[in-house]
Amino acid sequence: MYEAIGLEEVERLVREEGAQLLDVMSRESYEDSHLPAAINISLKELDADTATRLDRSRTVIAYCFDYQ
Amino acid sequence: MYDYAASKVDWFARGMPRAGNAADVLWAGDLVRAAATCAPDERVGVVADRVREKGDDFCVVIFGDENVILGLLRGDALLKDPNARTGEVMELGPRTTRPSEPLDELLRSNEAVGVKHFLIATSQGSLLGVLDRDTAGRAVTERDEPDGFEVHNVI
Repeated sequence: MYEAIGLEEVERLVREEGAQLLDVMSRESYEDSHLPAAINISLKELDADTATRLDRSRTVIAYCFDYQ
Repeated sequence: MYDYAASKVDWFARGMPRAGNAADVLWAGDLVRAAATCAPDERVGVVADRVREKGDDFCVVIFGDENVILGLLRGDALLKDPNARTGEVMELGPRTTRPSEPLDELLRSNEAVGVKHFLIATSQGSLLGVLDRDTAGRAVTERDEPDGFEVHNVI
């Protein structure tokens, strides 16, 4: 399972390790609002093919709309 | 891989920058101010003084480090019995608004209702602040003026 982190850790990982932000909401939700520089791959679309859009050498931080 | 469990709502509620169509839209959370707050075991008389000093007419009863909203103290409840505990006389479960609610929609949906203040809270019930209806109305009115209305994330 993924490790749950808070906002401060998100900021640190992005700033210090160049972590990628992954928005797993729908395209509509993403276009409405998202974290700056976040990549959108919805949960429905997320698979081995779509995941190639992510840089495997960098940390990935996934987020949703609210607490899952 | 990590999971930012508190997610988008938490990010925006904390006044962090946003991208997408919403970047150009005024949200409820953009204009919040601090509300008078109290714990459920405080005396009403003490709280009433605090509310008066703040220039407000209500107090939000909160609990714990996360400032979870328990109730609202206003009107007669603030005046009647100064020795009562706030938790005994508060209104339970006040209505709250999410910080990501667009101001236009918020005002439109509350046009017929005489709401003076909106409690802005996370989906977990943590108080972020209060949005005054007057402030929201002015912001929406001034938004399209030549100099615009500068949004300062106050959270």
